[in-house]
Amino acid sequence: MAHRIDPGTEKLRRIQAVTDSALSSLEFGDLLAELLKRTCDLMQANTAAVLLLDATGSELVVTATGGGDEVVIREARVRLGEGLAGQVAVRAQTQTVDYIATGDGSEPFLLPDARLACAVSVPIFAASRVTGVIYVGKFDDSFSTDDIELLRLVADRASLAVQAHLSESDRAATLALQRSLVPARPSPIPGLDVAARYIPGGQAGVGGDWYDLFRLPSDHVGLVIGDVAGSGLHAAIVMGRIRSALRAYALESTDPADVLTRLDRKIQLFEPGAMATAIYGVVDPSRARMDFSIAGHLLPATVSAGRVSRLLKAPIDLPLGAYPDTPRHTTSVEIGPETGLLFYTDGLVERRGHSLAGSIRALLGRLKSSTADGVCGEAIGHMHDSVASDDVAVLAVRPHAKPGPP
Amino acid sequence: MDVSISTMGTAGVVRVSVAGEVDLASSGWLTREIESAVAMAADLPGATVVVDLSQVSFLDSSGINALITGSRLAGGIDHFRVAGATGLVREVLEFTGVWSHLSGEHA
Repeated sequence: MAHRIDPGTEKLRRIQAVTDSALSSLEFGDLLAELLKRTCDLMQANTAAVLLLDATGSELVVTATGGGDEVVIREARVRLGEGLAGQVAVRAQTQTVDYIATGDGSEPFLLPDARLACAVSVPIFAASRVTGVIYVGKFDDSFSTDDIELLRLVADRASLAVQAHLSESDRAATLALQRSLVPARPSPIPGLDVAARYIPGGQAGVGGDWYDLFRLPSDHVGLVIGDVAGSGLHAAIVMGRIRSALRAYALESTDPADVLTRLDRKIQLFEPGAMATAIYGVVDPSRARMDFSIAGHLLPATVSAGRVSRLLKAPIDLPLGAYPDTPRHTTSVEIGPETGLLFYTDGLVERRGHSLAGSIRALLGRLKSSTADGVCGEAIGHMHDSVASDDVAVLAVRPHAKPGPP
Repeated sequence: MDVSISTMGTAGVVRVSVAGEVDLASSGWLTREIESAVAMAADLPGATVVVDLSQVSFLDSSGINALITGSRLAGGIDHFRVAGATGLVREVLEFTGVWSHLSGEHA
């Protein structure tokens, strides 16, 4: 006589099989393979695969396979929108397909003679973005509601594994790239005392912030602080291109609004979807004036002996990459040895649950030093009062008392 | 997920009501909701999208980007505006210079 299994117990057993903590001890590739194997066993499915978005975010790649029947082509690529997997990735919703009803049992990543009867695919999320899909197929029979519910759990487990795996390698690569693009020490500039700091954020935050400082052939000096939207390796890569393009346009024009306008146009054409905030400043050869233009970035601070630091007053235009033909303004300010300037990114002052105005006031209250390095130290000290998850870049500048060649 | 979003279209306004924290983790949802709202409004003659931030407790640069992208998609202030931002959220939008562009209000 067959032993009847209590449905509640059976459900629990299925859940435990895919959330088992022993999975965590496996290497990424093995973990996915084991997860897929258990999934096929539990659903009586014949084949399963995990497909992940590649670095460009436009194609899925078969990253792991499971199930006894090897009908999935490893490393196969699927365009977004193509087939069941491609559609699920775009719509971010679970979908099933009855191949017998549609009369077409082909998917781009299956062997041509695979004769699946039905399949289901669920999206894998990282935060609110789709990073891949799980695909499960059967030669006969169909998927129950319980199966699909279970697959949702499997996708969550896979998501954790994917995020952990990407985090480690991404973070190392991002830091390496940031360090190569954003030097620890700015190059010395005749007539200016300069200092800078870059501090990578916590797990999620690193990548995208930068400062830049360069002397132009005319002896003007370009100053940049910037923050590319997003984080991680992709943001750092885009930052590298923006930083480089800005330098090229800086060679063509000493008007900051003009430089940022050209940069904005370039980003809109060649970096679709990218957005960045930035300030570009130009100090003239006399070292007595700075022209600057602000693209959606927090106002810089001025530091003088004998008074509390305050923010420079200037119009703030929209960020780069935001809107075509955004009008941009150049503001001029007199500078001299008695006044230092501090540029910073929002990671320095933005804290969840705290007023931005309050945080900026507290920062301004700390800035007293008469040297650029001293101001950088004071600025970073403000940050140590609380934990930053975002990365932080600061740049401090003060004209020397006697400008001229060293 | 720390944000909840509901979209409703009535009387020429497609309202996207946002609650909670909008950050790197949740801004993707906001972007998708805004895209749906803009598509909905495109089918209603003369309709505008209003993104209501009155229940939002935190908004960072990723949230700002979602709002700006929505504004561009919709075609500017005649078709898209942000309303209801108060306190810390309003501060962030003002300090980065985007509030008047997104709300249509002038300081």
